[in-house]
Amino acid sequence: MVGLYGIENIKLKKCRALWNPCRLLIVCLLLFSSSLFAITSNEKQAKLTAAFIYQISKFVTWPESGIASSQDDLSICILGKDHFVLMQQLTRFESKKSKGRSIKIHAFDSKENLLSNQGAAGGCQILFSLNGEWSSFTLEEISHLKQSSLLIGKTRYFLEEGGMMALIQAKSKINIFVNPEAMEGSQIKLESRLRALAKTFPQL
Amino acid sequence: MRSKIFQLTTFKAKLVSLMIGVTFISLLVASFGLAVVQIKNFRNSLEASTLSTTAILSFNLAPALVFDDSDSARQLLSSFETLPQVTMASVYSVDERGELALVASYPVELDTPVSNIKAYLTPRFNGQEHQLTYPIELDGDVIGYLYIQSSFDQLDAFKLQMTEVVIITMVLCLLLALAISLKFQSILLRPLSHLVELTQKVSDDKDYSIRVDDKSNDEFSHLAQSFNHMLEQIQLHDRRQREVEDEIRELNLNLEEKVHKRAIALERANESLLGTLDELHRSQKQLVEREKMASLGGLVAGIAHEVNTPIGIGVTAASHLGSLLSQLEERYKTNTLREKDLTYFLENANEGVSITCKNLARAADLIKSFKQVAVDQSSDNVRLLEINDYFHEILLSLRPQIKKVAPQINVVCDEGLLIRCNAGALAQILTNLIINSLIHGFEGVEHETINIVINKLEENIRLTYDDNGVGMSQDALECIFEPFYTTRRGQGGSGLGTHLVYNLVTQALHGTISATSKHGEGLRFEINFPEAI
Repeated sequence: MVGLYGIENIKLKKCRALWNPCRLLIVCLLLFSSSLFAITSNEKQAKLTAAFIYQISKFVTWPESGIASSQDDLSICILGKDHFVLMQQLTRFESKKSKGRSIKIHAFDSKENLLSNQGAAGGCQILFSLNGEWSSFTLEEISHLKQSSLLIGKTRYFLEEGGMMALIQAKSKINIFVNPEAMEGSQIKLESRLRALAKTFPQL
Repeated sequence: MRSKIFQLTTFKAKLVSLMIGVTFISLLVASFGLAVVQIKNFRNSLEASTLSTTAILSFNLAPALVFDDSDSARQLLSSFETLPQVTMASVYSVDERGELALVASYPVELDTPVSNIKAYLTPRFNGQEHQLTYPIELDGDVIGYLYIQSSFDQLDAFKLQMTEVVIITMVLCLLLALAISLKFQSILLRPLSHLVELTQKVSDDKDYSIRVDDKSNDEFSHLAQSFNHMLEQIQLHDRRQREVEDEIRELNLNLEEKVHKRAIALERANESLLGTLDELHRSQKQLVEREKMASLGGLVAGIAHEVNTPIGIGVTAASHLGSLLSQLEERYKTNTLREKDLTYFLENANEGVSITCKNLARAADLIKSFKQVAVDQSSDNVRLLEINDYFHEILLSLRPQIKKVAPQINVVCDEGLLIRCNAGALAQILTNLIINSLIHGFEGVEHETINIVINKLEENIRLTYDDNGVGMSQDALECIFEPFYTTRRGQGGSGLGTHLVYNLVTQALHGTISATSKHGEGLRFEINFPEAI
């Protein structure tokens, strides 16, 4: 974007001499297109992340104590203030099933909201944390959550802070990282074929 | 030598060949069956190995497909390095529209995907090439396909290996079977060889007192016992035969003497028989001559009887004329002769002379006819004769014999038919046939009829004689021409009448004669003889 701005400035200087209203219009168009590109890119990433979360649910086995029965819904929870786009993409999977279970999507703005309403939401089998909220959890809270919830984030920091899995974007691709240490303390089991595909954190 | 081996003349060769043959066939069948099963199992194991590997790999490929990780997919496909039969593999994902997209391939990246891979969901074999498509499923949905192409070249190698093993095993087993059969055939055939040697000895020396050792307890001991029993029988038979031969030799010596005596006796009997036969021929000839004489006698009697009447009338007329002449002479001498007396004399004399002449002429005619017939019958002269007249003359001569029965005799013959033959034989034939009918044929028959028909057929004369008499049975008819055969034995029948007819026809006329008859339907003779001799 910086590079683009540089090119545009040269062009504007050339155009200023010719026609000021034209320069203004071009600036407006550029601003609109960049914001449009940012929105589209964010939505695309959310779509990809939602798909990954949905597919990951097919390779995960939860402890029987965490789910009342095999017919219960699979709850996918999103933690974070700007959860709207991801929520929208995940909601599309509510019409599908994972291992025979219906999918329910829940969103929580803050840690407090999550901790207080998680039970009402039927427990979260998958908890996806957006940026910024994870740092507020204590080790005890994380340890409690990971007993029955697969904790997924989107940064290395998330894994360093006790997260179990992270979907880290590299260029246009999302890589799955698994934190074996965090998985050890959990009753949740990942299928070996998923673990074979995922990268281990920290990488050796 | 070679032909001897292939002919298998000896029992030893047959035994060894049998063992080798049975072993070879058994091994061949067993090895072939085993090889087929082994090859099939090997192929199934290759297929199963490929299928199980494909199934495992498809299961593990699911995350790579759903997370669009082609590197992981490629890495998983590289596990096919452990299966050398897999020559190519490729994995495809199914998008939302159901279309296939190539994700990764092995061993090299493909430029274009393999077409129509779903056709190989059922594995296909194309020669040694095996193609298989396996669905990649996740949570009940088909998310992609794994296509495997294998080449079962190992199968050919395995077949070759199996063939080598089978051949080596068969050769070894055959050699072993040959060694065993050679070892055991000498043990098995020892009693048989001994038996053969003994048989040869018996055959050469004709010594039937030899016996085979039958102490063993196997089939050969039974054979030896049977052979010994047979030798005993032969020995007994041989002894009896020798005795019989001696007897025969002795009998032969006596027999020659007996045969000589018998031959002498037979020769004498033969001479006696020949004498008897000559006597018989003489008797037969005499009988035939007697028959002829009897016939001639009959003829003479007939002639006498026939001639007697005109001669008697002539004599009576002559004596009456003589009486009249005496009366006339007396009256002339006494001069009492009157004209009236002379007229009476002349009238009666003329009548007496006329009667005398007429009857003498009649007697002369009869004698002339009888003379000719009698001459013919007493001689064998061949002369030309007019047959119709001649037959009537014969019938005239037979009138005394015919008078008693008086049959109606019809003679049908062409007028003026002349033939040249033995007239006496012909007369005698007809006489005998008529006499035969009169004596034998007309007993109890009314309106006796004899038909005689004479025809000329080219250069032959056919004489058909038939009567309406009692006829003859078939058995009697078969003997009709045999000498001395008669149905009136002791009643005057000599049995030579028809035999004489047969001889006269065949020898004097050089013709043939046949007789046909049925009981109650008369008798018929047909005589054919040449017109001129």
